[in-house]
Amino acid sequence: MSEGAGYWQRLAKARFSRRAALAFGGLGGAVAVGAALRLSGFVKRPPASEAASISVRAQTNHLFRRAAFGASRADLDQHGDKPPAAIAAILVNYQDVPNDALEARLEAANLDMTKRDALQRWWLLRMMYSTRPFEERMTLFWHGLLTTAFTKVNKPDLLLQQNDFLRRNALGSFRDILVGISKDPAMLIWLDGATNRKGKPNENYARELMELFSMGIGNYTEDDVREGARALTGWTLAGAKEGPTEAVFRAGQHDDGQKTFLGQTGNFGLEEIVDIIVKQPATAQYLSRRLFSFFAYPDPEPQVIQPLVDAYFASGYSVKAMVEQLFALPAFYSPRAYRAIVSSPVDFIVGMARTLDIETDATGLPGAMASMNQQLFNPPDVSGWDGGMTWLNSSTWFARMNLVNRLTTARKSGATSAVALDALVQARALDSGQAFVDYWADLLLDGNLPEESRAMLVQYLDEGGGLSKRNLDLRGRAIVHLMLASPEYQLV
Amino acid sequence: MLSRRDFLRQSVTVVTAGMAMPPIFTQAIHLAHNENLALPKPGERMLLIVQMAGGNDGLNTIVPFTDPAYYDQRKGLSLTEKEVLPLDGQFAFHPALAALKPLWDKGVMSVVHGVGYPNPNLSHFRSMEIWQTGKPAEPKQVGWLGRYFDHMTDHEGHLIEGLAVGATLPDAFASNMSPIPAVQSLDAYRLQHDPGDAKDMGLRAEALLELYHHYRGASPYAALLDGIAAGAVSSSVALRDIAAAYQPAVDYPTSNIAKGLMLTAQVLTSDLGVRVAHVGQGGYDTHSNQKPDQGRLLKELAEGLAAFYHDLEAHGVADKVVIMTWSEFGRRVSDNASAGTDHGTAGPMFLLGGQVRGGHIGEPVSLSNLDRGNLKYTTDFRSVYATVLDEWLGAPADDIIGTAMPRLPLLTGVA
Repeated sequence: MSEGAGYWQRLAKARFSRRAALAFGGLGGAVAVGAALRLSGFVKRPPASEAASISVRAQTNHLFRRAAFGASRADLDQHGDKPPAAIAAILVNYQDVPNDALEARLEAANLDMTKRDALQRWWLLRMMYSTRPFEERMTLFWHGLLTTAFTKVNKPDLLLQQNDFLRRNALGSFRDILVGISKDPAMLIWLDGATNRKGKPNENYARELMELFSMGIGNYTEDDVREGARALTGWTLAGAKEGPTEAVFRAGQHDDGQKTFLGQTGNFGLEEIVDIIVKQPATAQYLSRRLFSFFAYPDPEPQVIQPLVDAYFASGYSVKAMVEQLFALPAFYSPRAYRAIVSSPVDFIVGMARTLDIETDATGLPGAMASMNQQLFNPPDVSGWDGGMTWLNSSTWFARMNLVNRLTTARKSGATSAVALDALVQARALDSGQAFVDYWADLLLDGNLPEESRAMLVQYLDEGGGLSKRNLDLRGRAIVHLMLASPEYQLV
Repeated sequence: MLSRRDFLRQSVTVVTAGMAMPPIFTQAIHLAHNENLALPKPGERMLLIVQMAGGNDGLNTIVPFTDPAYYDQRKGLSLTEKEVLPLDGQFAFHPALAALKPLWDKGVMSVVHGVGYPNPNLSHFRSMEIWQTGKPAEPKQVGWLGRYFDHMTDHEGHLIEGLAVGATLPDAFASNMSPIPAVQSLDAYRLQHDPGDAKDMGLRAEALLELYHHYRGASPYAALLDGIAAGAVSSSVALRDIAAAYQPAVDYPTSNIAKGLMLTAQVLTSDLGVRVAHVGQGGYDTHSNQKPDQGRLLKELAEGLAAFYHDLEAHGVADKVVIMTWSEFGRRVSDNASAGTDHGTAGPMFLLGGQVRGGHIGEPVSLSNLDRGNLKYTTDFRSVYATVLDEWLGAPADDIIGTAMPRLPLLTGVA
């Protein structure tokens, strides 16, 4: 390669110093492969109050990423000047926002909704093109908490029905959500509620209802599991001959004896069990922790989430009241929250589509997501997706890099065709390689690109031919690729 | 044998840029550095862990088919004497394990009975954590094999000491300093180039690794991301080279577990230096519909393992590999009303390999002396781990497990 001699010289120098560093490394330089590190013991994070705050611009992008899968240039042009709290209020109060274009798009996509792949594409398209993105974020939150998977259920109509339920109740009362999901047909199959009957209880749902859906482990006993299962008996499925479709209560299968559940005794049924559960402080804390960890950062201290706990009880279990508190917390906008969550494959793909205004019918994306370790409507088990480092290992990293490659080098459709780089350069009057790099760093990385990385990218672009039409098609695309592939962009 | 540095020098420019060790690793290396270990040579002693996720029903796997208590408590789900494959007068294989029966007869397979731990936890997730960390009392630690990797950092320049097959890194491999690659398929395990500009690949990949190297985010993930990027690229180069050299000696079945085992064979028969590999199979949470579901899973497992063993034999390494299966718990002794079983406690583990002693190990569980319908364990799983770490991998087992567990007679001809 003849071009880029300066670049090579610089790299050679960098390599030399790194090799010297390796020689002092003790064990001949253990090469870091994959990602198995546990963070807690080694990484000391400053408390939010001690660290410097992040810029308002970064706060705005951060809010869009967490609450709306990212901001497009149009979103920023429309809302970028508003304070984050005002933007949060707009995103959360979506109930009156029309979504006709999305419905028309889904209609036009003509998906065969009996197929798993079609369901996954359907939901991806909703997330990418909804005018109510927070509604989809919340639906995704619930899907990851109150899980149900194709594995075992394998009934697309029931999974869709459950998804509709979660979307309609996304900001409703947690009591109503728990009652509804406990009678949800797909859930009755997934955790065997449908075959839990008097005299022959099946403990599966009762256990996970407490362990994973509401209270968390350590807040109930094995006796509560057994007694709860008795109380839940009677709810089963009925419907057409070709398969159960509707939840029904069969009194003859219900155990109407006395049960002692979480310290209370009575002839409890499903709703009484849920009523007892939602009253528990452990439930308020668990749901607050799960919401905060999904939207802000993992493992918050109890005092950080206390406003959510208070809102839960004060509002009579309103999820909307909790998220309104959440987006008002300084902790949400703190440096500790900034880029502190590993983007899930959904975040990654939908985020690229929204930020870059990519036009797609989502063909092939469920498969790409599967190789990144996430399948919608099919979480790996009842605990949902663990998130964090489980999204990042050598295998999923290649899957991300190679999807970005496909998007940015698709010359007919994809990220860089969607933004038509030479037109962009004209429209935004970008007059240098540096301006081009800065434009993309601003949109994709909140302008937070380390100086040495910025200089390296500018040099890489300039040495390929700068902003010539030919080089925009080669290294111009590569710049977009590199930013989407960058470490910052793997975090939301 | 290539040293690490030779490897770096020879493997395309792509590898080098992001290669400096993140400080997090350097720090940990000093903690774990132990000069006095006498390791077996890479390639001489390998371990394959097979996870049966969901809680396999041990009673219907190794069936106590002559115990009346089994038939008293297992109603619809019990396996009859006619169905099972007797090993002796007391125990029989589930019929779906037929492919493993010749290996049992040959004396290269053992069953460890009644494996569990004190105060059993019936949550899948907590019990998996306990098994994967080897710490029943305080399971929020690095994985037991992660601690092994941390102790065993290879002095000989092998890039890949462990391998997880699949898109997920098992928690058992979670480590402080030795991140392990997870590989789904060798074809997808590499950076692809711009089809419009293939010759720019080297520079673009260099630039990519530079971005990772320069990233200094406050996020705790910064060092990890650098490690992943550098490690993924370098391990992909190493793995690409072995892909061409391997030919399976047997026809593997088409199940996912068999595909994973074939990829494992490809790696273990190469000279990459992998010491521990992991393959997983899910679906054992048989609260309902157990008979067909468990049968299908056990059949896929048995046929996959048999093919894998024969492939290792044909490549002359069956004596160098020990295979160990585990599941987070067994299931309730009595079946439930859904033709299934609820979460239980102790269960059997299998060991398989040319140097495995073969036969029954440990004390069978009692079906009459139960704890609220659940089996009382007879062998602590940490004894199995300690034996394998100590007598097979030559690792300081007591340090890694954190307590001195009794050893079991699992292996033959090694000490």
